[in-house]
Amino acid sequence: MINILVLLLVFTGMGLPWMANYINASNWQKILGESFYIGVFKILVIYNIFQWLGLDINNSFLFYLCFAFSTVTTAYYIFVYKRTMINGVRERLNLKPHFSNIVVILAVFAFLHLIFIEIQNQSLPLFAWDAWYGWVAKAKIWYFYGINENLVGRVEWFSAKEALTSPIHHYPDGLSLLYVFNSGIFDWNETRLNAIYPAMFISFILLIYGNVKLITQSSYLAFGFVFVLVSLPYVNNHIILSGYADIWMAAYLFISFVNIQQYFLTHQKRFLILSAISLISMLMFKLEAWVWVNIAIMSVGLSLLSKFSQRKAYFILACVIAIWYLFGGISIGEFKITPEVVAVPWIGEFQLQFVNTTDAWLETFFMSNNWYFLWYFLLIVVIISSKIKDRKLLALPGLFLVFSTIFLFVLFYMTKASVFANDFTSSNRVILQILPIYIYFIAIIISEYSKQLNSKKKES
Amino acid sequence: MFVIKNSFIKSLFLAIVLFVCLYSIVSYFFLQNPDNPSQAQIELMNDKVYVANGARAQSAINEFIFSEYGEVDLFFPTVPFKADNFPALEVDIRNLTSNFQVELVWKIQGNPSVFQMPLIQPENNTKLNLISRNPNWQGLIEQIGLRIHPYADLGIKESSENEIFIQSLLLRKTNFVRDYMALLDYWVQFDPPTQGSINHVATKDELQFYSKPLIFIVIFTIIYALTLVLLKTQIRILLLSIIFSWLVIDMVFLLKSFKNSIWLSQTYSSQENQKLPDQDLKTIATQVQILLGYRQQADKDLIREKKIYLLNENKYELFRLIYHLIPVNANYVGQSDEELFESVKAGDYFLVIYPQYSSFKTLGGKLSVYSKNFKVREVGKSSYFSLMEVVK
Repeated sequence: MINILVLLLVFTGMGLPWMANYINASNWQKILGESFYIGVFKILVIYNIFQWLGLDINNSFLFYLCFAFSTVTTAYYIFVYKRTMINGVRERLNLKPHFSNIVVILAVFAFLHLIFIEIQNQSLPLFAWDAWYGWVAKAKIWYFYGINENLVGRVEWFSAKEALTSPIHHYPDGLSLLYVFNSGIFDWNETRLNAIYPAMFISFILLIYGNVKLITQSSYLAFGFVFVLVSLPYVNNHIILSGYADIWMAAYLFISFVNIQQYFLTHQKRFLILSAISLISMLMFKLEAWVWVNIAIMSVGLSLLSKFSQRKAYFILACVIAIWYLFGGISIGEFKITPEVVAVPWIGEFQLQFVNTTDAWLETFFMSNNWYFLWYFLLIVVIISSKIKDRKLLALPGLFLVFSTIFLFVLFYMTKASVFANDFTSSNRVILQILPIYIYFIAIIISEYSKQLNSKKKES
Repeated sequence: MFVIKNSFIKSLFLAIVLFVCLYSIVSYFFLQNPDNPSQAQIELMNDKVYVANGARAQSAINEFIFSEYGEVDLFFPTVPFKADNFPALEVDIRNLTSNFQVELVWKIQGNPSVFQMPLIQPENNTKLNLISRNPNWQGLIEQIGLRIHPYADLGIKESSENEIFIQSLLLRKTNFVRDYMALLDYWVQFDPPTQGSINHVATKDELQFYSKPLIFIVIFTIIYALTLVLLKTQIRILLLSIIFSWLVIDMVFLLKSFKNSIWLSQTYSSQENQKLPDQDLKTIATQVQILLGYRQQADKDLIREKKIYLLNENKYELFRLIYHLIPVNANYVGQSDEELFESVKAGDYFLVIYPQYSSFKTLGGKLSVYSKNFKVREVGKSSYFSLMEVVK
């Protein structure tokens, strides 16, 4: 437990300066949660600068320096904002009586999940395939040889004299560098190093709560969706079997998404800055972040258009796709998007061929215990969203989810990635990356629909 | 102070009644016996039990000690019987640690294959296994046995000195009243984490579609919600019914999870001297590091130039070993790498894992790697590995 708390303190403390300037009684959970991820971003930037300069770094020195800095900043902000936060907690404890017993029961269940996650995470050795195959193996090489050790591909490795190799040598370094940083206090003990996952999960919970509450103005709804997230078996397993990058992608994608929406609602520049930082951070973790960045940009662009312009845009998009198909696709150097192949430099080449993976999807969404009933709500979500008249808040997450679904369809039905749907490997993890936005979308729908019903009641 | 309304208590009571009814119906179908004449039950434990592969029987006929590989294989001589007559196997094994799995093995008359299926984890009480769910449980069974071994990929193969006791192994029919809780045992079946479980938290395949916990709870929720609508209950209660159902399925998951949690704390909790799921590979890596002259972090530059090519065909073992070997400069060699073999030079090393089972053999100082031969000198070996330096 102490390992998790230390990491929470260090990363949150690193992220608090600037973020803490905007704390108030109703948004402190959002600020605290997001500060952790901004802290992670700052530390990764420090490592990247050292790598860029070709300088080595003493992990212990850097960790303890950050630890000292974070302790001072956290103590300072607690001192400054203690009244604000106490008021915020009091406000939360002032629950309506008919909800209090339900909230208590849900809180007990959520607490049991967190205990279970903590016990398992802090007992297990390194289990996850991606961890010892890629991310953590890379970190272990850097732990021994320093962060400037240049890793080569396997083919080059055969002829290279002294170079070391990694299957993910060309992937972003974010997760590996976090393990290197944490080795500054835990040395190379994988179980202790894995404490970063429960720590980031606690911050993730805070920021989900804060952001759902901010958009729906309902603590109950925010708490309900936090419970949903904490109880999902797939999420539990993802945190316990540490070493995958997907939950980091999910967190940064969510932060960038909710903040860009807040920017359009409030026109405060800080939300735009936060959104941009999160998008950059996401790119530091996985190559597929580029796909989400493009989808996010496209969704933002379309959501800003008027209804008429949107229809025009969809028509143009349909025409472009038709022309693209009739003329055999686009091919610029190594970049190819044709009806037979998608080749993007640095990401890979995917032959396009239809493979029916529907059975696997039905099983993963509706029959195995990964997501409980979450995807059963999809139909209800679609029906209710069609009944909502004021769609100002729905447009952006809705568009993002539609484009993501199209992307996932192409990826898992049309490319060789279909094998990962059939054996349930990356398909579930990609779903995890957009899960918080789906939860956020459901929360907005419930909130908007109940507002609509209430105003109807008042009118009648 | 909890404020509980009357309507809430009524709805909760209704939910419990509905749940018990639905569970009883599903359980009834789950425990249905095939339509055939009744037969007596068969107790498999008898004084003719054959103990194989190094495990030892103790003084009593139902006490066994594991072999040096941490396994027990038992065969039960029986008169051939029709599989259909015995859809269930009641198992009661005591003193078995949780990282061991029990598998039923059998042979069908006229079929040379040996079939097997994992059984529910014994927990010092009686567990019912519906073996008729397995499509291969058919025809005339001529031989039947039990394999007890560590879980694949993560069971720590340490030979337990404890005696295990097989209290009862009973082939029989199912009985609705006696086996009422059997379905629940399937739901909360002990399910330790594996390297693949992140991808798919699946329910057991032996369960019929409608008796999988998630589907069961979905059906329950729909029936419950419809009942509430018919009773013209408030919308708020409808919402509570969804929360209640979510909590029920979550309780199933938590029960299962805390079982795993206890096993985990027994097996892996020591942080100072932590055992690993692949302890053999870790041992190999440590011994190879020492053979190459690496003892502490300062020695890392000594071993950087000493390149090691791993020879094995199991991807899981290869990558786990590469991980454990770091900071040693190692990677694997596959058949598709033959063009790159020119790069292998004198002073590099080949590491063969589990040489007794490997297809990579040395003959007269020459190691054959796919279609190429390398002149090598063995610099270290154990029953788990052979480390060879390339001479030419």
